[in-house]
Amino acid sequence: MTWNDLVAAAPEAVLVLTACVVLLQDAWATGGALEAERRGAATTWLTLAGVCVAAALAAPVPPGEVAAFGGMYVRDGITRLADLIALGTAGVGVLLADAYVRRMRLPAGEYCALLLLSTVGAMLMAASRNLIVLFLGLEVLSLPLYVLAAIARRSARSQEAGLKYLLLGAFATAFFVYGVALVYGAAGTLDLRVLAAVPASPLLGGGLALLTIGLGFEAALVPFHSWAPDVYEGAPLPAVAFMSVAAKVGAFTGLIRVFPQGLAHLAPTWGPMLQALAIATMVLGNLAALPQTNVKRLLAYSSVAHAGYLLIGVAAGGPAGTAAVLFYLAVYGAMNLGAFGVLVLLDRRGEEADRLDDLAGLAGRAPWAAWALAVCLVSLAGLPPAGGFIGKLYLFRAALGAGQIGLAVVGVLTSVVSVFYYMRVAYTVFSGEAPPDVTVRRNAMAGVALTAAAAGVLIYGIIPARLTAAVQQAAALLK
Amino acid sequence: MSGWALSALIALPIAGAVAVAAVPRHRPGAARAVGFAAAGLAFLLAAWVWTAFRPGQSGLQFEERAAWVPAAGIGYHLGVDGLSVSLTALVALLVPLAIVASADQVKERGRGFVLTLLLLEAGLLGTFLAQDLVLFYVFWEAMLIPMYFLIALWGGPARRGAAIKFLLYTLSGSVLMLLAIIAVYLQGGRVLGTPTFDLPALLARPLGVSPAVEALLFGAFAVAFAIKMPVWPLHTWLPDAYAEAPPVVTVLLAGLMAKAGAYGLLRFCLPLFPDAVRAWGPLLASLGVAGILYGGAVAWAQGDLRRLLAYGSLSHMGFILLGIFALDVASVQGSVLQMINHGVSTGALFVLAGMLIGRTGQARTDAYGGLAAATPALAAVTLIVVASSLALPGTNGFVGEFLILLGAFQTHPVHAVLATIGVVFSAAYLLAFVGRIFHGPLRPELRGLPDLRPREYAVLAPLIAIIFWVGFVPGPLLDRSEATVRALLKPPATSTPIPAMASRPPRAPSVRRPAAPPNRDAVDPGPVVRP
Repeated sequence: MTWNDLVAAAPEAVLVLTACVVLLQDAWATGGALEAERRGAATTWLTLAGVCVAAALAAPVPPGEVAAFGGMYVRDGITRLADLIALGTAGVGVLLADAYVRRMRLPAGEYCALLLLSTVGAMLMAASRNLIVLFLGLEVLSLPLYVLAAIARRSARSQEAGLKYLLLGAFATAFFVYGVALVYGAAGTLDLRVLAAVPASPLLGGGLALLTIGLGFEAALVPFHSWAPDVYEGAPLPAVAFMSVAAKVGAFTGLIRVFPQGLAHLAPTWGPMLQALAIATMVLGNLAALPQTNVKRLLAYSSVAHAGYLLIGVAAGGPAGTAAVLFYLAVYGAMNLGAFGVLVLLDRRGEEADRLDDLAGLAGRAPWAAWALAVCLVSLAGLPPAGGFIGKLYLFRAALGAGQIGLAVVGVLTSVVSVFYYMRVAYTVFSGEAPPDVTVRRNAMAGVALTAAAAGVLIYGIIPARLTAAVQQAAALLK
Repeated sequence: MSGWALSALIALPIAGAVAVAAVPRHRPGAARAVGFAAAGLAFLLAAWVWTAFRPGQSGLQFEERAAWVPAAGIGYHLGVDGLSVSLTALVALLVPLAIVASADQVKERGRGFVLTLLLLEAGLLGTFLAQDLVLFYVFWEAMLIPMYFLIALWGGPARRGAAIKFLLYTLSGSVLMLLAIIAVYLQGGRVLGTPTFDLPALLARPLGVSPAVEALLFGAFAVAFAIKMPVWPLHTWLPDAYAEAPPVVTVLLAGLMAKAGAYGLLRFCLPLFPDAVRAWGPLLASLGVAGILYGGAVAWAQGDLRRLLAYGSLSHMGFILLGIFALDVASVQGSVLQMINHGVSTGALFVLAGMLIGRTGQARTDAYGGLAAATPALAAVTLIVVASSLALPGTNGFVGEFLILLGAFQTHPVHAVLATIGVVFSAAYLLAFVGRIFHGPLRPELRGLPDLRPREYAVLAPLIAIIFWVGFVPGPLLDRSEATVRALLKPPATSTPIPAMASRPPRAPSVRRPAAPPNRDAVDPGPVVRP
């Protein structure tokens, strides 16, 4: 390890250090009490400071491709954008969690530290040019998420969610490692640059299929999605908001590193596999979301469906597909955090207000939150003028450009299906009487987070030129 | 040419919506006033654009260009030409009237209603002004969301179902159009060298695709527009949406949104896919005729006021479709004019229906009878609007339908004959409508119903004025669209000479002519084709 290696990985290093400081600070401040009576906001501020420093370090456009740790870790345009999306998610996630964590008496130090470590995992996956680093990133991403899902110690639902996530996740990770082993057996290397010249073989194909299972679990692709609705429903809301985005950022940048970038020459092998997965994911995700009456479950299936849309870009491959995935990840982050973020504000007698009926009449008493939610829902449905539309435009352009007409047709038709359930939520928000046992817990931090998310959604939809230029520049490295 | 007017036209309603949002919720009257001010300003601007528009030029005027997403070849490109200039003015006219009419008809959440209406106006204006395929699509879909909420939140008892049906139906058509737009873009990139979504740039050269692919792309565009119009048999969302929406919103649905579909056919399908238009035009013209007859017959059988008018509107949209795909200068001119006429007349009919329902709470025609005795002014105005809808000479509808039939006779005589039968149908259901509601003995429970109030006069007066103005002096409207329509049909399908046009002395487009346009000469022997 040289000094240059550390400089390249400085954003990750800053986050890990911040995580340690935050843990210690919280322990000192609360005297080690698990459920402290009172808690300052210092933990949140420290975490935010770390995120901001990391973002400042990650923000400069790297000159071409900066390799570190013997070429296992690279910092290029894709790393940069993925880092910024992951860090933005972490920042908004912390802001959303602040009041909730205090209200529910969750251990704030652990919460923030785990969130930061999980972000490091997603960033590592985006930076990996070697399957070992990718595996490392996957583990660093998902282990904190298992704990975050179960962090509400007194909630049986949260415990159940954590356990389910852990068991299924461990199972999927085993597939991933076995896939890595098979790839090594077939190619004699785990370096993705070297793999780019390896001829196709059944062993390599098997290895890739198993890799896809591991990444597909993290991304919640059908048929590896069955954990998502249960975990999303049970885990604490701010944690769900964060994990729904962070896991996708990691999984999809990992998929980009492996397939369109690493194994572009084997596209005829993996292309049809990914297309089939994308179609299954879009169709099942959207259909399963239709009858949901629990908003967390509904958004869980919606995030499954969005994994399908993102996979369109991976399956299309090339610079166009990669640019589309990166753009959509940014938009997805903003709109999903916004949608979950509004739910975080609501409280039904000390519990999460996650039933559809709990949202009724929200526009009457919290108009700003209602509008933010509406903007995010319109974007999730892929309608203009929100960012989700431009994102889908890019994805479908990539699919048609790659000649994958069937994929694009399924994509647009399932988007129409999705409009049905998103509009059902939007309609509920703007109509009816507010249920008396649901209260709106306004707080400044969540307000800032929601404003940022909704503004992001609108900016990506109305003036997306800067982001589109950035993603196209980053993806141009692929060639 | 000014480079700000059209952007300002779209921005005014949006600014108005923001201003309305700032009004306290419990003061819907103030919200309406603010909204009316914004929509009124937009109307003044649109009227100025309409007056300053130079007829005789086929190209875009008031053009504005800016980079939007340069990395993807998407531009912010606005402009008006003969197809859109009058439609833009129509949008800007009907929305403020709707805001005024909503004062009596929308009781709950007046502020939200005005706000949503203004957002809808911005979407509609943008749809008619955009010259970039993606920009057009953005406005096209952006107007769906306000419309969904207008139906779902302020509509009748079955509003939720009707709203979602409308939304999903229209969306499923337009998403396939989105794919076709991307395909045109990719193919345009191959032909032109640089991929672009800019419509004029794409039209510079033929797309150069095989007939099968062209037919597919044309189909994707045409289905999206046909659902919006709607064209039989893609109309099944229409009766529910028209009947469940609040009457003021139905005015906009029938008067403006339906026009967006017909406009799309003219703006995109005709120039982008000329060969497919020639191949599939007769089929679409036949669907137009089917719509005329089907809509007319079903309207006749309706007992619900608004369903009757809804099917009547479907029947009238059939004329517009026939006119477009007769691919004759006269018929397309007639269609462009009829789009305005239909907006005014059908809009006025739904305004009147809203006034009736607002007075009695009854939507069924058999709940009425002999109303002319109680509300003579309302009855008189209704008769005028019905005359216009029936296309009686002297009203606007006559000029439009006559031109459509005249043009269609040149190219599709059978269609034209059948469509003429449709005129009889419209006489049947419209006169039945007037008869059932206003004539006969006055029902006792309707006695003492108030006649038109000043505010209602204010809403109806401009519409009546336009009905007669266009009926007697259609020249200004026809002049504005003529050059564009001729350019649109330039490599025309009309290989046969058009007697009506050929008999007329040719004229230079640059010369400013007196008020009476040549088309009026052709219009005079009208009663020949009347039943």
